[in-house]
Amino acid sequence: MRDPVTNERHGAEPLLEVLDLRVRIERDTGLVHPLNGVSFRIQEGQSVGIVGESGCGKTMASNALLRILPRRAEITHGSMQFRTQAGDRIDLAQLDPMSRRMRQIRGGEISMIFQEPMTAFSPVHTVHDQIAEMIRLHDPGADKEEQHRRVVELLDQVGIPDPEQRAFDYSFQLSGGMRQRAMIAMALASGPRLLIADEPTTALDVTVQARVLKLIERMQRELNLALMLITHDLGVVAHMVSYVYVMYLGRVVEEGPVEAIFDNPKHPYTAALLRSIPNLASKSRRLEPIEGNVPSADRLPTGCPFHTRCTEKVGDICQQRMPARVELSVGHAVSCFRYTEESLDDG
Amino acid sequence: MTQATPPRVEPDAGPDLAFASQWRLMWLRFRRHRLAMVAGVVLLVLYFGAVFCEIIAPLGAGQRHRSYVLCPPQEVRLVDAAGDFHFRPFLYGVKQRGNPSDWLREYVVDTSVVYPIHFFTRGPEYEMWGLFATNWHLFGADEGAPLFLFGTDELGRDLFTRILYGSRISLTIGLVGVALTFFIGILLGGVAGYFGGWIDIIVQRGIEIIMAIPQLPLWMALSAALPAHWPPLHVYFGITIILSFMGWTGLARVVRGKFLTMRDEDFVVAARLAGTHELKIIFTHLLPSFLSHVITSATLAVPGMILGETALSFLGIGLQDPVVSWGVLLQKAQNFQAVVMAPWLLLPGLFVVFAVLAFNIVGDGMRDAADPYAN
Amino acid sequence: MAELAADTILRVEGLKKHFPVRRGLLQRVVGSVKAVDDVSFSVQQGRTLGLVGESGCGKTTTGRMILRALDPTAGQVWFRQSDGQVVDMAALRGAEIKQARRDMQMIFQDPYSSLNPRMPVMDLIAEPLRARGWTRPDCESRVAELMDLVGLDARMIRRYPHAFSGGQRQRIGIARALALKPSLIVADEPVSALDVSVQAQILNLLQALQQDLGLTLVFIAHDLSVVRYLCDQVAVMYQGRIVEQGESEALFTAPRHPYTATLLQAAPAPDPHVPWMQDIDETETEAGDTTAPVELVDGTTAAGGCAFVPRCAHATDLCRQQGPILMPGSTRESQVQYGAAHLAACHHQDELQLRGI
Ligand SMILES: Nc1ncnc2c1ncn2[C@@H]1O[C@H](COP(=O)(O)OP(=O)(O)OP(=O)(O)O)[C@@H](O)[C@H]1O
Ligand SMILES: Nc1ncnc2c1ncn2[C@@H]1O[C@H](COP(=O)(O)OP(=O)(O)OP(=O)(O)O)[C@@H](O)[C@H]1O
Ligand code: SF4
Ligand SMILES: [Mg+2]
Ligand SMILES: [Mg+2]
Repeated sequence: MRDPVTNERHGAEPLLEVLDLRVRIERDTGLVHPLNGVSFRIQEGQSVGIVGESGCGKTMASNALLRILPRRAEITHGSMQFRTQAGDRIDLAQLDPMSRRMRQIRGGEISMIFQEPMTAFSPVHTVHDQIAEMIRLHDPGADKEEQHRRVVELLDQVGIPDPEQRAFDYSFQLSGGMRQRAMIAMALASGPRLLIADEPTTALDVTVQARVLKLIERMQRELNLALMLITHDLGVVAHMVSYVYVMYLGRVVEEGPVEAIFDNPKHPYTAALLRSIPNLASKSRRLEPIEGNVPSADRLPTGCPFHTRCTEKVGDICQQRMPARVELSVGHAVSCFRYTEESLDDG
Repeated sequence: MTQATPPRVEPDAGPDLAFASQWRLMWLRFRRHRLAMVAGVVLLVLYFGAVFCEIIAPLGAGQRHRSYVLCPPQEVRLVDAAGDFHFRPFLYGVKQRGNPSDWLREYVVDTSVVYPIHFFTRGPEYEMWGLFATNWHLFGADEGAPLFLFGTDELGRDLFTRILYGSRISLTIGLVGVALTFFIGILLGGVAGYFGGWIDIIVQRGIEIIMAIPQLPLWMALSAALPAHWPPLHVYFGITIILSFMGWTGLARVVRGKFLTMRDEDFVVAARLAGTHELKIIFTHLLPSFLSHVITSATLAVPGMILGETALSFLGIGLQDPVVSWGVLLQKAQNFQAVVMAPWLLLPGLFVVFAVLAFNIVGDGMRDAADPYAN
Repeated sequence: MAELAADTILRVEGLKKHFPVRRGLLQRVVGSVKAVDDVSFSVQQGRTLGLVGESGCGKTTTGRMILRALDPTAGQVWFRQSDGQVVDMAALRGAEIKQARRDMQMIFQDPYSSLNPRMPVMDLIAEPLRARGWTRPDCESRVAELMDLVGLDARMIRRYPHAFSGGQRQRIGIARALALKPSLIVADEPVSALDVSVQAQILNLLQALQQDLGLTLVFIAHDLSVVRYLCDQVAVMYQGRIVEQGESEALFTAPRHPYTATLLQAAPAPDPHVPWMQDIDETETEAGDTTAPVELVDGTTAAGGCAFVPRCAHATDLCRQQGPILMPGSTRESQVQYGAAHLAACHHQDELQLRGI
């Protein structure tokens, strides 16, 4: 049996393994580096969280996976090994974004739930048409009746009341929570093995968010999906995933099982972030903000990306060299000089 | 007890863009639009010509050269017939073949007569900007030289000179017209957008009615109504007013829309809460926020005005002959025979095309630059 | 002053705002949105009232009516000015409003749209001063002082907003609100648009400023944890009405209205060991909306009864028939346990055993 908690570095082959991914965007004003060597892995059926503040490259990472990067953005380095249903490993970074293969994987084996479902649905087609279209794309054998049956079944599964009727609504006729449910139904229509959810509930109210997240959790469990949950909300990650990657400025600075990250954060950024957010459950504690601002991706600091705001700097080495990834315990790793033997004199 | 002074946020060591005003940011953006920059230079050259046409033109606008009727464009040379190079540009003489009274005239270059070109020389007398009389010209040749860079018309007047003089009217009619349009548009659009209610409804319906009238017939009717005995200057202003009367509607709509959306913007509410007077809010917050858009619309409206004048004059109901404008000049190219015989009479049309294109391209560049805060 | 108790700076009484709903080609008024419907509360000098609720429940509308950025449909807003005079913001005119706004200001949610990008920081912060005839040099020194107060480097005084990050812009907005030394500040979700790591900076700044300057704060938020951190009192809004109101601690630990309990349950704590939504059926859908109901002119009004009925697990026939009133518990036990200051609009507030945090 697979261990859902540790990331099983030495176990079975992961479903997805991203290694040292770098993305560069050309802008009129210069180059932007939204991803600077991101590595992560997801096992089959595992739920993984990617957390980080706005602009740290979370969306960029998932868009790179699906090869839907913006114009003038390119993957300059790294690999993204994906194990397909058939069992072969392909490097998504090497595929042509427009190729048949890529299109089969995108929206097929890997599907995505977007933050703003409004933009994911076409306003001129009914929800039914769009979900049926997904079914048809990935199962050309299904006839009209079969498609309809599956659409209704999916809508029912995601908790849309009266699915026979609602199916023929347009997306703008649904409330925010309903729309997100329909979006989930659409994402599941192709029978994916990896579900990417990019801030799926940021636009929703807490009570609606809670139910939508519970729905995603149930779907993940029932269909044995791998889930890559992208969010900036530490509360959401704490309850939704078993393994967490903390990103800062286009890099993974800490990764580990969710309890390890929350109980025993090692990287100064993770620790500071946890100290800076209010917790409904405890009033007394004073918040300790992280001083300064997130540097912009077009003027990256040298060395450790966090050194401009870090209160636990080891020394000059922090602003001169990039700390390597160190594994502290099984599956819990950080990139920080506080945990390496390295000093400036080396090398 | 409490940490009264929060930690200081250090100023970024950013470029001095931090201090850049809206207009500077817009300029920085506009500059990146290559084509618009080129078009902008073209416009500057055209307007420079229009402002200094008396000096740049070697001859007088009404000056007739009876022996050079419908003479084709002549070449200014640096290399002579023998292949020798000369530092001073020169012109060969022209001999006429055939019957002078006949339409079918032919001019041949006469290499035996050489007219050197002089710079900053004296030529026909003119009154600079109606202020003082002088006879200095940028360049010229001796009396009787066929210095016709673009050829001559059927009365033997130099077309290059006349195009330059014509640009003064054709290009300024667009600007003056747009200035008027701008004024009416901002005033009516602003009033409609800001006050709303029945004022808005009246202005809106007015705009719709004017927009529903086909332009050309209305222009024609209005210009036909201009008294025939009016002096050229009056006709000029009359035409301008007619053109802007049609043109303000689009601008008024832009302004109205902007006012409506901006009225409830957060920063406008904030200004109101700060106690700023409504009029001051209009002038310090609202107008600056969309002035760039309005100027862009205005720029894009200039070509319409230029074409309008050209069309009216071409049809003979705008400006008339002693006045020189591109439309008036094009009137000469109205009949087919003339075009076949003297294709250079179409040159003013080329200038119209250039000016209109340049304005459109510049307007396009401005549109891209108009909102420097959008990403 | 009969309208205000001595220690109270603001009392809102029966405040309403109905927006017309227009339909069709002629844009005829076919009904109204009851964005705020009969809201009453009061705030004591120097304290912080949190106004919470989900999107569209009328928080912003309420906040803006307090400052008279919107004209109320009905109701009074009693406010004690710094000169001791008590005025009804809802009934003031032109110059009087301007006079009152010297003592009350607003902090906006969106630090991008609330600062005119075409003005340098100096002009932005000085705007309320300029509007009251301060000279430029006076303004300049006051602005430098204010920038210092909110933790901005005064050397950045000539910069334009585009040169600042979200958190810094929010500091500019705060400095501007403080320019005239107001006694009351309405902060409309001042941290919602900010980066997670920057939110605490602004929250701490607000807290420090409040304590040092003795400000009274009406703090609008949808994030309960932020409200708990900052506020002494809380009012929970649902569909344009207040459904529960009380001291922050009491309300969070022992909620009296099912909606408050739902909100508390739904917020995920940043701690994997705290149970979250264990007994919630996620297939139960979003019946009923949080946004204000539209009432059509042709008589089809929303049914009487409690607005929370479609989402309430405790609803009875009484709830469906009769709208509850915001009031303290009526049994002796609850009076003793919760006091008269803890109000809820629920028929069953005395019987329900609701879980807090
Ligand atoms: N089209 C683009 N052109 C240039 N830069 C971009 C573009 N899209 C994103 N970026 C930059 O790339 C970086 C990463 O962006 P990304 O959208 O991945 O962030 P994110 O972590 O998803 O943030 P958020 O929480 O705001 O969604 C940012 O600094 C952003 O400025
Ligand atoms: N100008 C307006 N015209 C018509 N309806 C309006 C107007 N402003 C607000 N509303 C409606 O009034 C209700 C309350 O809006 P309000 O902005 O006060 O909510 P809120 O609690 O601040 O929500 P949020 O959390 O989304 O900011 C909403 O249903 C909204 O659609
Ligand atoms: S590497 Fe240095 S600067 Fe970076 S987080 Fe660790 S201690 Fe701080
Ligand atoms: Mg994103
Ligand atoms: Mg609001």
